[in-house]
Amino acid sequence: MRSYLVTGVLILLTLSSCLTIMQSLITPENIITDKRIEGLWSKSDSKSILVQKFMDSKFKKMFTELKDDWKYTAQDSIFYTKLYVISYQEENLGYTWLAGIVKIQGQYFLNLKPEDILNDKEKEVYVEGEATSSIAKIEWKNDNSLILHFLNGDYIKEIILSGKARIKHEYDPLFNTLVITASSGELEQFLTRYGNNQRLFDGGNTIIFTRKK
Amino acid sequence: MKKILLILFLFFSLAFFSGCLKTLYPIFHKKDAIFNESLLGYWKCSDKARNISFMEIRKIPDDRKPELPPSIREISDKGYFLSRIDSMGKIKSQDFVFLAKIGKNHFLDYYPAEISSQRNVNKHYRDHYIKLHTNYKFDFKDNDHFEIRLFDQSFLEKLLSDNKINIHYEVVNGKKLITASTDDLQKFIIKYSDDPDAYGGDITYCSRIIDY
Repeated sequence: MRSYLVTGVLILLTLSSCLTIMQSLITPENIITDKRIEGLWSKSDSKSILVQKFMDSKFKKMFTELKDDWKYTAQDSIFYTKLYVISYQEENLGYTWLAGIVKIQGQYFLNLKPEDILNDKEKEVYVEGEATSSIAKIEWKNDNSLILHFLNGDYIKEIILSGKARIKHEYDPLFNTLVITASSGELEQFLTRYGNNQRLFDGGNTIIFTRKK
Repeated sequence: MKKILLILFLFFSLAFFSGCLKTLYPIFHKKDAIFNESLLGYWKCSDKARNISFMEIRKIPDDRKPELPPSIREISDKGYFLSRIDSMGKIKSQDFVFLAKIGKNHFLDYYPAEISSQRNVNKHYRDHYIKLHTNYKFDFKDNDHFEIRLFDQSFLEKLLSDNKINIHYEVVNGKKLITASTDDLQKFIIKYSDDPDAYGGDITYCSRIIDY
């Protein structure tokens, strides 16, 4: 595990809805790694966020043990080793996310998916529903700072429902459920076309990571 | 940790969402929702394997209505708040439930409510979970007895593999999630609701203990 003794600031600037995406952007073909994201980052309230490679995380042992039982291919195995595990503590709950980086037209995007929450007794907290992904654009400021710009779910919902943006989705007005059902390839095409359009990110959640030695 | 084991497993196989048929859309439109006061009460239920559980069904309390999105909240007076309780008296799950007549049969649509342990989970994390609908065929036998039947997933699996139906679904984490619209779901339900293979397997029988 590559870790850093760092301190820093994480600021959650806004709390708009994230865009829920059923299919992951990352695939074995497009996932990449970037060491700049690894490390220990801390929030403004001095709580820490740890970003580890999958095989440096708590999942390594389990993944290795599964090798004999589940006949996944070498490509599948490589895919998992390129994932990142993001974990942090908040109000006595330990959150874990799985993340993967994709580079599209020179820009870096992070696909995030919730993995689990453990309470202070290490017991899993169940969240009702099916986990979906969200996508954030990574802005590398320097070695010690980066910003995650999440797609603004409210704005994208608005332009999808008004017909100004076309991407495969399902929308149930009765329970106000909108979920993007585009495939990984279609998501990649969408980001190729709109990844530079700042309006898709303006007003979305923005998280600033700052690393201090 | 258990979840990633499941995801890894499902990554290399294909299955339906476990336990019951889950859909992205509800099986009812606003106009289909009906309210039957007889359903209110405390019920003792047993499944085919004679496992005992309890259900408390009441009107949706005012303090839980904000959990519902605005459009469905408009008809929340026609809805029920159902708590599943185990034999030790512990609440296992809570759902917003709507009764609807589709074709000549009645059905219950379950939409999950938040349980207390989830309320401490931060919003950004919770927003990544989409709630799904579960439906049951519902039969009131008399004022003090009803039975609910789950749709048999293997029946649907066979219809799909035999190319006998064309119903929208997405494969998510290796699992099939039905994304058919409410209209398409209703057509499907009407077509198969009297087929004993469709709603024949998982039956729960409930008897009234307390009248509300």
